[in-house]
Amino acid sequence: MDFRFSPEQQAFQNEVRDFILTEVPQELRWCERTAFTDALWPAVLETRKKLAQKGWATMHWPVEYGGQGASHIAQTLLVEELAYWGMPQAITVDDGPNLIGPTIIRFGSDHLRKTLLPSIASGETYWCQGYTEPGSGSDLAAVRTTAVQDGNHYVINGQKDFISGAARADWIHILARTNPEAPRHRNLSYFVVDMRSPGITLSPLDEAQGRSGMLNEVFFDNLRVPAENLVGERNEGWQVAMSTLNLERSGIENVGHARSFLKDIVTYARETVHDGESLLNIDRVSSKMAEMAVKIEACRLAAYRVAWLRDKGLNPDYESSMSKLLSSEMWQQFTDAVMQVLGHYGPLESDSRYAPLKGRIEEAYIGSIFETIYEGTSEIQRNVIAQRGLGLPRR
Amino acid sequence: MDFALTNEQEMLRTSAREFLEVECPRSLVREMETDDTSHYPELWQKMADLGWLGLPFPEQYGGAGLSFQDMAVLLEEMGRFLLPGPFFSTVVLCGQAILEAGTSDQKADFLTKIASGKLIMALALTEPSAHYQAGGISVRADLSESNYVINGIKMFVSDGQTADYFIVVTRTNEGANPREGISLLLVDARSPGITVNPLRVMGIDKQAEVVFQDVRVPSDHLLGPAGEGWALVEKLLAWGATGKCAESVGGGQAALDLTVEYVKTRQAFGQPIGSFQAIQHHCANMLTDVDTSRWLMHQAAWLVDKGEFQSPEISKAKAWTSDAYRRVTTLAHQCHGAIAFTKVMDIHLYHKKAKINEILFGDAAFHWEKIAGAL
Ligand SMILES: Cc1cc2nc3c(=O)[nH]c(=O)nc-3n(C[C@H](O)[C@H](O)[C@H](O)COP(=O)(O)OP(=O)(O)OC[C@H]3O[C@@H](n4cnc5c(N)ncnc54)[C@H](O)[C@@H]3O)c2cc1C
Repeated sequence: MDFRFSPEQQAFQNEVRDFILTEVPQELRWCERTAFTDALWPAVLETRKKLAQKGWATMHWPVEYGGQGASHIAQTLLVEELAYWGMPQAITVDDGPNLIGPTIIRFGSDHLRKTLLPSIASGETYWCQGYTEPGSGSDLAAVRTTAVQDGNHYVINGQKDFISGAARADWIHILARTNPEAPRHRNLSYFVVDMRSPGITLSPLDEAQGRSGMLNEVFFDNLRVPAENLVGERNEGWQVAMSTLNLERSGIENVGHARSFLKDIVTYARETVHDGESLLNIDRVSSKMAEMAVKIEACRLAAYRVAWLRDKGLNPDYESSMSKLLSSEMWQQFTDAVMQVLGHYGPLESDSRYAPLKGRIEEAYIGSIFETIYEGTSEIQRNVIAQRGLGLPRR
Repeated sequence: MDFALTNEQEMLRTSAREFLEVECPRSLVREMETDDTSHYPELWQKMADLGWLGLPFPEQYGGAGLSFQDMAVLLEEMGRFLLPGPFFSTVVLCGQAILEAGTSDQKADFLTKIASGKLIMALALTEPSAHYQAGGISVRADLSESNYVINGIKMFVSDGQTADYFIVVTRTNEGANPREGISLLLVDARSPGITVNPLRVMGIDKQAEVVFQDVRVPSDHLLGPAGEGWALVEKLLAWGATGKCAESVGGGQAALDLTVEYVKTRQAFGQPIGSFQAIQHHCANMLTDVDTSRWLMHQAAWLVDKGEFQSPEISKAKAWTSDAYRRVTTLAHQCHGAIAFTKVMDIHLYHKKAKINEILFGDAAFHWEKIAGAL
């Protein structure tokens, strides 16, 4: 066993850090709430392109598809570093290189590979994912959106809900029902759809977290999609979607965030003096931070184990669920612990001049609530770990 | 032992619920989330007409002469409906402090105005050090002839931006013990030298920074004995902590009720999600948290009525309820899934309120220390 990064990986980590510090605009740090606004989106796009030019966005893809054949450990390191510096999700866990690209490589036709992969690799297209529907969240196979073949096209009707980044997306990947007679899991097909197609309308959701226009309802009204946009076989979309969603489940982003916050909150506690005593000298403050350092380390190893399994050619399954579960819950506990250290200063909104840690904590605290919901809820992850990891019976 | 509300309390609860259901709809709460003051004069006047603004005061000041346990019943309903505005600051804190320590002239003047809805008050206690110990009081009030001259900064003053008058906790003497030399002053918010800077905090609560620069206050505006104000602050902390517990119990109950209703109807995998044991366990944990908070809170209110402001049971109530309300609203979110991420649902309002209530008048860690000291 060896738990260090290799010298090359360390050099890569330094290179990524230098890149972020010198080439990425400061305002992109910790901007999740505003990343999709007109003010910031151009800088987000520009940064994605720069990452692509460096070859980093798709470094884990095979060389023949424009990747570098790099290890998943190195790619995880990249995401951890980006997250450490507070890059928004549209950069850190960009759907194109991370989810849809590998899915097309594995299941897509040559035509799709040829037409879609280059623009993903160059960072020119931004993708969103369309799985959830009003009646189909955890129970993904309950999808009601239908796709009916009409010559060389499918005609798609239905509604997707809570779609992140839809308003900025060029493409969306979706599941639709292609055979109403067949049993669940065997009646779904996986499509990629150009968001500019006629028949797509969006309706933004007003978010409790205060972001605007980020989450959307997406409506398909007699949307015509070329039959060649089918990924994998017709009616076998479930298997394709499971593979995509499994790629999504990594906890490394929250690990990066938490490591960075921990460093800053320790500094804050050291410098904040109450009645002549630094906060860091108060037992409950220092032991809380130590407890969080332990949790972060457990999460970090869980996330790198998933990468290591991928590098070994093994297909991580419950292991990804474990990583996602652990780190999303860690992030919730962590932001709460930080709030407790900050006391009255914690709930100050980010634009307040008194807000400590550059006002990041209030947003992080509220946002952390949803980490245990999206990409599969904690309850679903625990079911996966129990049933697929331990072989316990399903009810 | 008797765990039941009295008939009068049951009636107060029912009428409060009926009133707030109509007068404090969620649309108003959401509007107030982004409002500068969250004070809604029309509702305030109706509350005065109902007698709520004078609830703990004797009849001679236009009050109803009810107990703190009765107050807790009302606060629980206010917490359930997330009532915005300065009721807590004006009545629970400042009004009760004046009733407790004011001269007969002060009582006649202030309490009558509060009860009739004509005066809004706020307690200026915490400072940039942001804690609830006597050592944290450093705002100076120096006697110069017949005036106190106040200098310094108060932070996180709830409803500071709405108040007509403040009770300002000041230091008039440096004693060997930080509890000595503390004096409370009644200060007109329009006095020259006062600057109120609103602080934006999450949720419906409104807080402000209040800066005092050579603010002159006639010495007869002293509330209680000079230099011995900490005893009154301790009472204020007990009312504050217990009152926040009552609000939190109501809020937690509301979040639980919304969740139970939702999990019975939301379908996944061909059944209501409330049939999954994972969800049932969440709901069971929420109920356990709400129930235990409620009894700890009622016990604390009962002790307040008996004058046992120093009782560690008050700290036990606040320590437990601070964490319980947060746990309950976090689980409420978890059971709802993504839908509660949108402002269509109200869970997020409770979740934010829980964090604010957790901190006000001391979080769990603060009260654990007090409890440890009493063991
Ligand atoms: C910020 C955010 C961004 C999102 N972005 C996207 C996106 O880009 N694309 C997309 O397609 N979706 C997106 N989603 C939706 C997300 O994938 C769903 O919210 C998630 O799958 C859960 O579904 P649901 O919200 O319908 O909750 P439900 O499935 O209704 O679940 C409600 C509760 O029931 C529990 N539950 C359900 N089934 C079981 C079971 N079998 N056993 C035990 N408990 C169970 C859940 O764990 C949860 O606690 C996003 C959500 C959020 C909050």
